[in-house]
Amino acid sequence: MSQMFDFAGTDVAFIDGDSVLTALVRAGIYPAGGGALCCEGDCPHCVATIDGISYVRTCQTAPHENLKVQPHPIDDYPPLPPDRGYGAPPIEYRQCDVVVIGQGESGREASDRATTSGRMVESFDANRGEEVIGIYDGPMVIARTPERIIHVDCEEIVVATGAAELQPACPGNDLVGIVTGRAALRLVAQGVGLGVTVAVGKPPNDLDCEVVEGTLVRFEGVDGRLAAVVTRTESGEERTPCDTAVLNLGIYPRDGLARMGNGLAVSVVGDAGRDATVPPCPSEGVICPCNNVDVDDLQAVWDRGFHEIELVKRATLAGTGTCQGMACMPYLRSFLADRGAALQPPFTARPVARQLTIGEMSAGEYDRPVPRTPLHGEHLALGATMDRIGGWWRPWTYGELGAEYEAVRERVSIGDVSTLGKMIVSGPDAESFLEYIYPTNISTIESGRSRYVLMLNERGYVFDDGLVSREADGTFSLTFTSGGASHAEMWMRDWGSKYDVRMLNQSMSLAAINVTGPLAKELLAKAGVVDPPPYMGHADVQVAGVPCKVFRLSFTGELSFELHHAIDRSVELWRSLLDLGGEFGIYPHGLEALQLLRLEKGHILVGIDTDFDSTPRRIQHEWACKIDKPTDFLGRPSVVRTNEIPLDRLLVGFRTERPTVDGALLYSNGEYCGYVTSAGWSPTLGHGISMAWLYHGSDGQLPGDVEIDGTTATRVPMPFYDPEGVKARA
Amino acid sequence: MLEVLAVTRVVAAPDSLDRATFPSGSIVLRTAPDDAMVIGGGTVQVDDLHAIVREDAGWSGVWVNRAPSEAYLQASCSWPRPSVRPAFAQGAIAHLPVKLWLTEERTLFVFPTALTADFVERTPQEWSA
Amino acid sequence: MSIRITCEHCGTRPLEEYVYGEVLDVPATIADPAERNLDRAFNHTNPEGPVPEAWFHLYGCRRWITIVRDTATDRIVD
Repeated sequence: MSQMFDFAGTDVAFIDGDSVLTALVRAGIYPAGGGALCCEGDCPHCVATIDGISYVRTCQTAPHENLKVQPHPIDDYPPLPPDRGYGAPPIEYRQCDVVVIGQGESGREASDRATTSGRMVESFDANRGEEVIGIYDGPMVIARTPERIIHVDCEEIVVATGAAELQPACPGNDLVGIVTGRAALRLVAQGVGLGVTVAVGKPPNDLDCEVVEGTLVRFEGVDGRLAAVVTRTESGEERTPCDTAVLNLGIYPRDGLARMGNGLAVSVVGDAGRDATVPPCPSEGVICPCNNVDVDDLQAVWDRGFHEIELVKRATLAGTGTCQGMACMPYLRSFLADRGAALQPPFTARPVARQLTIGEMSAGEYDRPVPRTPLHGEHLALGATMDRIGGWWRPWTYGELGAEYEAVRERVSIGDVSTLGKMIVSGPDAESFLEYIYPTNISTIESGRSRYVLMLNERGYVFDDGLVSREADGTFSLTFTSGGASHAEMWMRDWGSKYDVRMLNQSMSLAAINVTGPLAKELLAKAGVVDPPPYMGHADVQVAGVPCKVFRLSFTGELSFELHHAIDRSVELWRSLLDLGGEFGIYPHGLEALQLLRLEKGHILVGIDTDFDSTPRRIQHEWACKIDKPTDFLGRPSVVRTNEIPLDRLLVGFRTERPTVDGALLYSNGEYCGYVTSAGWSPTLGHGISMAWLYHGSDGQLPGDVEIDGTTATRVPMPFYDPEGVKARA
Repeated sequence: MLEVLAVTRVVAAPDSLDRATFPSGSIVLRTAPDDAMVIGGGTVQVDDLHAIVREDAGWSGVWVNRAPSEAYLQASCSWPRPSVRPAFAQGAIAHLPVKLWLTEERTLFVFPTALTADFVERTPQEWSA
Repeated sequence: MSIRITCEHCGTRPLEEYVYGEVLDVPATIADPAERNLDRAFNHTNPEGPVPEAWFHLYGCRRWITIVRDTATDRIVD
């Protein structure tokens, strides 16, 4: 019993030695509906969707049972993979002296030569399932196999990719029944019957066929299938009926990778380096089968003044498709030479040379590690959904968003904020350094007190925020946002180099648990904290026997204490708090709840609610930017300057009666006027709340009420919840 | 055996750090001119009034015999290790930020505890057993 | 991966260990520190050839280093 795979619902039999393509042609199927097949990976006529992945060359795919092949739709894009199951493959890193691309005769010789002279060689060959997708600076070669992406650092690259047979450029070249000479041999070798076969040009040895005289004029067909070849001879046009036309129009070097290596240590051997002689200029017909560009299209862009091959490529998209110019390049060049522009070199070749899946594009994405807080296991045990957020694994929700929110607003909750950036700054210049870094007064922060700070860059734009606290010993403790901590450290070390300061990054050494809710003080009292610090104060105290630095501040809007402690005591502290909080109805909260809680308070998330060019004025944070403070600070000249420019947009709050979403657009009288940065539904207030960028109208005025997602949004002041801040200061 | 290390971090003016005395038997990794990571506990004496000296619970490590450690590094570390031992080196190993303390007999791999899961995943099973 | 940068504290390491900082191209003729900051923020010459650059050695000492990179060839000159 023969083996079968599925093509669009039909069983297709295959035998040993078949590619998917040879099996299809045996069954009378051209996967792309026609075109001159090459069977060597050069043309775009065999691509199909295989097992959900599109643009796969069926000629280079081995069939197996259960394989599902779908033709690409004729006038539409092929489908995306059906689910997210196509994960990033691993990257394998290799190093060698010489990479040889292609293992035909000249490639094998090059490999042998290099090996004999004692050099370490890596070789790749598309026929072995190793497709080189690009040559990069370094030099480095990137190849893909079905299992992985391979990066090879090397000294030298040898391109031995051979040459491809020319595609026909004439009317009818999209019919079923046209093959190159090499393709014909492969098909015949697999026992595929070609019917009445004629050859245009010299046929391969041993191929039994009639040779037609003259030069190719067009192919004629019936119902999409080849019926005859028309050639021109001295005596006029000659029509030769046939089932299959075998072409030998000449060969053209496969030099894409060689051209990619321009300026690098790349040499070319064998047919890949042969002279790229161009064929005669075609008079009509499609020259770019990938994007269906014909001679008339070329003429049209020529007439519009595009005479350089790079421009013609961009104007027509010829050369930007599946085959990356393998089919059209010779004809683009001969057309332009014929019209009077000199024979131009091929257009620039750039990676990638082959279609990649989104998964392959993101190969190595997970090489960069994602740190976990010491409470990772606790979150999992509580059923949390973890996600990568701000460069860390963090609990998004424990599955009960409502309960998480309610615990914070009505009772008490704990949240893992270990990911916060944390740093100690000491030194004779510590205070003057921080005065320069922050747009807030630092000298007036008393020992044991903290202050909210923005971080501005030289342009006066906000790039992070956090807290500055003065310690009893004269040092300062800083916090940064979780996602911004690494950048903030770089920032501090850069500007700090001009000051006599010492800095210690403690981001991964200290954990932090936020205890928040109206009963937070009661919970801390049970944990042995009888005299917690006042609002915006901090103190070193033991919490349930664990040494902590307790900061009192509020992001959720409720009474909150942030307990910073050594990460090796974190699990113990977390469990104690959950245990002690049982009688208060404690429930932990994840980031989803936290985002809603802080939105109700109008607290910004830098990088989400702010843009790269958010000035303190634009985000209504001028209260945190003391422009008149006695000392200069980073970004001050820019803030002074931009403050003189009329305000163009403002980060504001909106109330909606229906829920809206992040990124929703704002309209005022039909005019676009901004977008939502954070949206949520406030259970406490019973209406939708949004933070949004609102642009000034052409009249220079800020619109009042706007429309978001077809619903009226009323501009309201922030915070939405507890505007007096009574709860946080309770 | 993979373990959380007893680490003291000392950030001080480089010349003060040069003169500092560290507990006998401790391993001192000079991670930067103004930063020393002291493994093993004990009191550090440094003559910089503004030095930051802190216990640091954020680091884990594993001792590996020389031969298997060198075999692993050969495959997972793209930069050359110091040719003489004992020596300190730091950089990407299996794409993780790792600090190495290389002695004649063994190699200590040091990494942030927050990256333990990644380290375990990318190193031989028996190291974390 | 393929570009290797030498950190004065740690040695020669692959690119993945570093974070790019900036071109150090504020002209010496600008003396005022505030003006230097503004020039650093707003004026970029995007030169072709060897230029001094700041890189942060994230996977090693976590300090800034200065190198000279030829922007035309990506070779580290110094």
